Amino acid sequence: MAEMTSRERLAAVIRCEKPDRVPICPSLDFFCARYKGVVLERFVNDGDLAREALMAVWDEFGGWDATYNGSGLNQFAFSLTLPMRLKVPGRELAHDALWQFDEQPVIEVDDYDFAIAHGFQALWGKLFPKVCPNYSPAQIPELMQAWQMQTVKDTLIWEAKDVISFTGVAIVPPLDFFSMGRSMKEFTFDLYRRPEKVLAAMEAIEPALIETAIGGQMGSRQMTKHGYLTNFIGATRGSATFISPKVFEKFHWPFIKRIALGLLDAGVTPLFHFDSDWTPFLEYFQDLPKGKCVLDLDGATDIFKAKKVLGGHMCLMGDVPPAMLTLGTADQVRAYVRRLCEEVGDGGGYILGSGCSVPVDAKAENVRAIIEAGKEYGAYH
Amino acid sequence: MSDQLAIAISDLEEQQALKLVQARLDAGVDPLAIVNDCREGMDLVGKRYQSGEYFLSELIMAGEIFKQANALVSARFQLTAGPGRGTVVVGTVQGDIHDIGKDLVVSMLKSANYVVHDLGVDVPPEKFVETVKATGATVVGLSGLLTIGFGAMKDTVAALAVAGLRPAVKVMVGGGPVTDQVREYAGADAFGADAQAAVTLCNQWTGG
Repeated sequence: MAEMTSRERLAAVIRCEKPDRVPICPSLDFFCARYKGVVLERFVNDGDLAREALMAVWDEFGGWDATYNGSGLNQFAFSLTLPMRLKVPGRELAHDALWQFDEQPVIEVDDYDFAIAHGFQALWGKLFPKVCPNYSPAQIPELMQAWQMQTVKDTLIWEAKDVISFTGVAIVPPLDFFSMGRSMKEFTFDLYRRPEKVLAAMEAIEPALIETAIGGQMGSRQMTKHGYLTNFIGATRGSATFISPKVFEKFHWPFIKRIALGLLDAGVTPLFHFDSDWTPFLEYFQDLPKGKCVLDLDGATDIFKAKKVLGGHMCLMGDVPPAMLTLGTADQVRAYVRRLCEEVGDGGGYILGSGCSVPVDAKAENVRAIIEAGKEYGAYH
Repeated sequence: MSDQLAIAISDLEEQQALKLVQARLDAGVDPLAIVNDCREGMDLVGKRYQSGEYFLSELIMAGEIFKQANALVSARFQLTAGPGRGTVVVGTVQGDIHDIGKDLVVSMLKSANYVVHDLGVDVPPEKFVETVKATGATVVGLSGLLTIGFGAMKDTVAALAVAGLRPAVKVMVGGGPVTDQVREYAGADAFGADAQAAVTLCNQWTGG
């Protein structure tokens, strides 16, 4: 088969077709900082430095098909998507510590009514001082502009290098939003104690989530050459690790489906970055249009089963597990990548990725093994 | 199972379960019998989880109902803390502050009648050692959601060995990315994929 460009390769697999080779796109962020000797405090506070670390790893490891993370990560950017406090290196944590969520409820029971009455933007504004107590709400416009400018700048710099920005503009379905904001425990109680109220609040914030994603994608397309290839939809807490099919059918799937269809209507490709175990829920994804979305799994879902259920219908992505990258050997990674390419890559419709982010303490030779083995075993003959 | 209270707990009927506890206390029913009925309900919750009928959210809710039921009983009677089925020390390892999985393990072990010493999150190895020494616990549960916790798990197991406690305790590890490879690396005895597995492991080890 004639050699394809990365863009053609990715477009083919999203349509569930067979390209010349399995496209490769691991999610690399904090690993790059540690590997390049950038202290994590600086990595989360200096966008240019973060991008340079990502790019240095790209160059050193020989490049791949698209950069999953075009920009670094910072606390304000996280707060746009997740109503959850972060413990940040150099502030609550040591200078070179990995940041961590501090799961304290920032959404109160009354906030369901507030969301129903006033919608997403007002709720977000109300929560902001609790999520980011170190900023004043008056700083929001300036922080927002700085983050948007950073992402545009990063995308343009990657584009100048002819590298695709795989995803951007992160949203989470309403279930994840409320579960993270309420804390998992309180949210679980709410599901039993006030289910209808929870559902109404979820419905109230849904339209703004879709509009945010579409607005962000269109903005990025206007200000860069291509914008992002997909829109990031992150979900964990509605997986089968946590909730039953009964809860899933009422509180989660209808929202996931409407969000996906809303994005597709606007010409935006949904990337389901779905961590933890979705295996019992895979059949639901057959309900979405064929060859239009990407399902990115983290090693907890049985990706080989996913291929059986969704092969030919939805592009799959994943899933070298974090423990293998940290504790395993390069040979183990190579063997696993080979199996992924042969089984999940069979007939196309597959992107080789890491399960969620490559861990900060992954062995460099294991990360390199993903790229090299992917190029070797991913070739279609 | 015919007991109404056990059924209410196993069906996650919070109000109904608490009403029954209150009514039985008012009627002078033996508080230990009430707690035992609650445990019977929790046992069924565990079975439903294992059979795939229940998921994590049902375990969390059941744990909450059990906790409230216990609080109602304790408010009336000073329950003499029996020896339970065994003593377990549980904590999220040093460097990691995640507590959802750890809390669930604590709640499931308590409802299965274990005496549990919950050390919280970001627990240094020496704290585990001290607590095992002080309590005579025979099981230690190490939790972690991040790969950076693997080293801390290994350090904790090593610290138990240095203190001469390793032969007397079984160590179980668990949390999002934890696999059997992590168990081997840390030198633990077992890894549990979920909170119910922690109960099963403790039952095996304590002969319960």
